Amino acid sequence: MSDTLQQQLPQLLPRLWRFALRLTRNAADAEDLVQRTCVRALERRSQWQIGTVLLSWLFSIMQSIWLNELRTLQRRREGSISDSEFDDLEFAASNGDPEHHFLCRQVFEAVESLPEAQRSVMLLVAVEGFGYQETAEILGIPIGTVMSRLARARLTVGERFIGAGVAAKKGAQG
Amino acid sequence: MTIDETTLRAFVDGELDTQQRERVETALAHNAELRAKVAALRASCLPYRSAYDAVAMPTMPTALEQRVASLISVANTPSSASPMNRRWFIGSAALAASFALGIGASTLLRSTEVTAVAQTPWVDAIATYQALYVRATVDQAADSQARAQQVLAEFGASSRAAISVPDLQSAGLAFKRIQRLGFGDAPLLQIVYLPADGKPAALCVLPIQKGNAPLRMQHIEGLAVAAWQKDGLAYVLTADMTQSKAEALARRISEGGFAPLYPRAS
Repeated sequence: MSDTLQQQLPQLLPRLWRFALRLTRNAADAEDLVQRTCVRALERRSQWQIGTVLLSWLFSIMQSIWLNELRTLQRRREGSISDSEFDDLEFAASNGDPEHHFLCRQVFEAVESLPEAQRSVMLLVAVEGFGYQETAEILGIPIGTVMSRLARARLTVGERFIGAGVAAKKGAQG
Repeated sequence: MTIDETTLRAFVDGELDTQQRERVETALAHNAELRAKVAALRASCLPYRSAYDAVAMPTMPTALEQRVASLISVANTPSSASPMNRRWFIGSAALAASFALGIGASTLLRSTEVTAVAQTPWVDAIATYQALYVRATVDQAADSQARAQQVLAEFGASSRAAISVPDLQSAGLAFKRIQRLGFGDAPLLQIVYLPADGKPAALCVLPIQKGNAPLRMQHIEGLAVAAWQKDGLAYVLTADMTQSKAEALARRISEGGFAPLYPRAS
């Protein structure tokens, strides 16, 4: 079993990297987060249960390190340095339908401005595509809490779209 | 009749059964506030995934991949039973260019044979690994005496060396855990201590070919790192403290100045 974790970890790195970037919005912090996640996973590999999805287990470790260790550090730094230095996620230049590009940007900004607890649920459910139960396990919270955070987040995003009058422009459903 | 936001969201996403759906529809007919919420939830059916996929992300640094490979190699518990004669490469690019160690179990059992190298790559690998430890990594750990002695006995059998766990309580370090890791195919004993504050400290022991080397201090990844070799064993102490304090601690450990925490396993 431990061999399997060590064999699978390198293949899962790109997904860990992407999720770490989405959580931290910052390349240096994402790098730190991925490394800490790998060490924690290797240290606790006996706790990984056969039959559970390795990626969910790794995401749960990452999420916990992010919320309990790194986020506080990042906030402390943000107090002294301008916010722009902590925003490595930039919207790519539009190379297709400008309306769709505009919509994507609005959607991204709406989710990013949610409170962290709701943003996490949205990232896992709506962006990463995890089920409600998996999301609950990753976040270590009851499924009912996932559902209520998801509803609250969706209401906030929806109200923002209605208010901004951009809902009419939306293209694909997602 | 109250309909909560969770139910409304499930209604909008088509996750309710017929009976639940009819209940919501009835409530909506009489409640403008609920209708407004449903409108907002409908407006929130958006292309979330493609929105995030459209965000340009920094590519994963090659150094990160290499470092993770290095972490995996340190965490690789060697099996003492299987024949091992693989070559092992350290995951850091600079080191990979300089060192390639071939460590075989059979040679280890003949009182070890690590290829002589100008430097000691395990010091960097161990320091890199330990630098990622935070208090949360080990603060729940509390190895029992039986567990510690079992690990010591296993390490002793594979390294032909008798090791004890030094009791560093008088230096402010509480013993937390002992485990057998590996450096390449060689067994690596890791003893972790927790100070009152700051990062965990670790004493790592690895069997080597050459007998003795004097204490050498380094500063790696923000940690004070002391390395020395004695009687066919390489020791690496990593600690979140000043260089001088770590050096004094390492010197005292190397001179046997701390009593063993448990009686030595025979």
